[in-house]
Amino acid sequence: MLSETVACRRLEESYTRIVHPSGLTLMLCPMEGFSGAHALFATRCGSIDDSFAIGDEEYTTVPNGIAHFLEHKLFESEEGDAFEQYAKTGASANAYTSFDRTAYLFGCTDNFDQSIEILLNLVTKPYFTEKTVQKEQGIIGQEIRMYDDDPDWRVYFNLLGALYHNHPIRVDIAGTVESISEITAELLYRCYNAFYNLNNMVLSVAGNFDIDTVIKACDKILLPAAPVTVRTREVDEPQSVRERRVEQKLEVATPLFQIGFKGTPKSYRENILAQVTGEIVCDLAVGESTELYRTLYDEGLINASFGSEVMAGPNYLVNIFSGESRNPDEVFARILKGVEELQQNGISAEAFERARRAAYGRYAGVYSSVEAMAGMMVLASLADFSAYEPLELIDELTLNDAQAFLRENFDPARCALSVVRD
Amino acid sequence: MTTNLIRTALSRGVNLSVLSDPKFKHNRISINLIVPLDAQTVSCNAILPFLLRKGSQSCKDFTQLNRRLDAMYGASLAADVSKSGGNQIITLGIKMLDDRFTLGGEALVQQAATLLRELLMEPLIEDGVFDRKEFFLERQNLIDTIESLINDKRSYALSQCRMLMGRNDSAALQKYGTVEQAQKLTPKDAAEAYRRLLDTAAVEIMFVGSGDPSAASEVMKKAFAGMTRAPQPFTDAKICPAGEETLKKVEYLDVAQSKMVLGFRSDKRGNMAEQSAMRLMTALYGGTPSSKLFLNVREKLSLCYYCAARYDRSSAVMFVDCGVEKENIESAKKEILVQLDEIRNGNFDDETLENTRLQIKNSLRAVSDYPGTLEEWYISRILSDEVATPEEEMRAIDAVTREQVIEAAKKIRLDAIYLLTSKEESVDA
Repeated sequence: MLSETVACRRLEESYTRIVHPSGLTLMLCPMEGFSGAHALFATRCGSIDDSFAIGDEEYTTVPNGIAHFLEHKLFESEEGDAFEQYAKTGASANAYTSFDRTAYLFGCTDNFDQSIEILLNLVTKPYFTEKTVQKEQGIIGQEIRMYDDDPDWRVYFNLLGALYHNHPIRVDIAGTVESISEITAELLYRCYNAFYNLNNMVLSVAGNFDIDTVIKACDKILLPAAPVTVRTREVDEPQSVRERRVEQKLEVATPLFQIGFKGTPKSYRENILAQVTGEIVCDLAVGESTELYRTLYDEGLINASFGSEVMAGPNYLVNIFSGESRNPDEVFARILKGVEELQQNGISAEAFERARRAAYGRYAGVYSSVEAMAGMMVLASLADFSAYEPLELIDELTLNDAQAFLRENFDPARCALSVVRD
Repeated sequence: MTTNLIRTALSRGVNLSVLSDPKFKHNRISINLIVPLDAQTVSCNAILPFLLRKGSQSCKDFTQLNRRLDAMYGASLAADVSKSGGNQIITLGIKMLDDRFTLGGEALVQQAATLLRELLMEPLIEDGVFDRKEFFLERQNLIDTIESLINDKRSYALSQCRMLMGRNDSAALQKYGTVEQAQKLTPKDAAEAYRRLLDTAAVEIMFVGSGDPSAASEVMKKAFAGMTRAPQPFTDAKICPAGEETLKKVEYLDVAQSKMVLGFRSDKRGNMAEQSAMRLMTALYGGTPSSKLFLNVREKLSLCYYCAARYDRSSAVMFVDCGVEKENIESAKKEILVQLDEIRNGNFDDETLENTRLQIKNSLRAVSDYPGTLEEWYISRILSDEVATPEEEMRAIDAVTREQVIEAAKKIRLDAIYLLTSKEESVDA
């Protein structure tokens, strides 16, 4: 069994990475002083994996929302609902599906050994029938309808739809009421067999637990899996954006907006790590310490809800500025102008140092939360980096790195504005 | 692991509570100014944190202030309003990296406490008024904030149901007040409200984190020393029984999914044992994935994605809320009420009860893992004058009997139904 210790000198902390004989990667970080443990069992299967092939087989195209549907359905087994089993241990269980991954999780302060077994069983023992699939269509249908009324969610997906021509991140993670009606038990098994191979998955645990308990549970439950190669479709995505401006009417007070810059994606690993640099650059462009933020705020064009984020994954990287404004088009114009000026004049060394230091303080917090640490280790395993790398990267980041990111990922010709208003 | 609260009086009506644990990497210091919720003053108080966070006499410029925070390793300044029971809480807080992890050994606790003191004690008031430009900007922001509550339909529906059940109890007021009131505010009103706040608020300072609080304690003690203040006591929410007739309100908006909220009332807050019974009953009814509402309304009937119950201890009020198709509103309502009767009739097995108890104890044990949760836990308990630790509450949950759960379900009665639904006529109506 391959086992290595990954350490961070700065924080004097470490975690253990193990490749279990079953093929599964284990990321284990016992954390002193915490009452709870947080476990995530994840796979690199997200809403964007809408067309795939196992080995040399032909490509299968599946209905939108199937990864999320599969997530719901894995909670059911022949013996009943996994929630019922968790109820006996007191753990609080959940799962989520994002663009690039699905994760099953629980948090507990007691009976960790039983809960980890439930988690391993639920993910590795699929059970779907046409009847249970049908029941889920009703529940997920209501989940989708709930998001239809959620202006934050709509303004976000409308933006992605404007930025991307073909990439599946433009499609809602849960799919539509129509697309999920096409999901069958057989399609769920196909999807499962492609993406739920232990060799491509990770189990991440942080907090109050023993490493041996996890290994024993894995030994007991996991059967060695033969590695498979899964090819997902190559997305043919032009560099340009599809639309420059999109708008939707919904019941909101002040209009909501999101402004997105379509970045230049590199490898999965590079994209995920570049988020750290991207966040610093967003801060330098329109953060609260900039003149631009001040002007926009003082003119009443933005309020305290204004913020930024960098969203990255396989083949995508987007820098997003979002908020509320009576005049989103003016905010868009001003931010574009600000970005262009920053590109021409360059980032000041003083501002860069300040933003870098602020990022360091924020990221240090990741390593003292069991939830955040477990999540970071999942990402580290799927995208192949050390969980401490973001912090180390901030430590070593140079002004040139920030300038390069600004040049490559803030193209005024490749951005869009999404608005939701009454 | 137990994190014990150490609460000391710094001066009359000013207390410092310290929750210290070396496992964290950050500290948060917050100053909470507590006054009774009052329809006349709620909006005027609500604008204050947003004015105070903009600067002080020693750091007049908002951009410079943010640069100062950045230099403190991205310390984050938070200013907001909340409510608990019959109290309105105005909070200024700073979260910063602990001194142990700074690259140059900076004393961030000291710096952050000093900055907070400046923001609170040296506001940008000249000649008895807040800066006009700043004031009108923040007044508009406050109005926008109040109006944007409608953006999140689920929480909007919950707050509307709470107001519907208000019966002139100030605890039912919105924490930011109303647009009408906000529109009338002047720079002078705000400056007067500020002085009244400093004069009359009970002050609870919280220090949660891994660092040494003594520097913060010194700064805060000095800040309030020599002030002649008349702090007011905390205010409980009024407890009143459900009315004879169920209150009803329907609001029409252009929505895809309808939101229904059922509000229930108990006629007393009860002692710790009764409160724990209510907490356990609420979880059994609709607080977990093995609850009555989850298993029946969601899993069996497939009517809702969420259908959940929550209990507000301070007002002795329980809410059940769900998102549902317009044509299924009646079936969902019927099932929600049927499931409450099931608990009243004792139709739940011991195993489910024990499992629910276990889940609550798990979440109580985890309170100490999250600084934010810890702070919230103790603030609300300090305000209701019932400072129990999560461990004490766990023991109380352990002591709840099956009969007490049934009693709790019998004690609450339906008081109000609020419905948010689409404008057009439903096909099946």
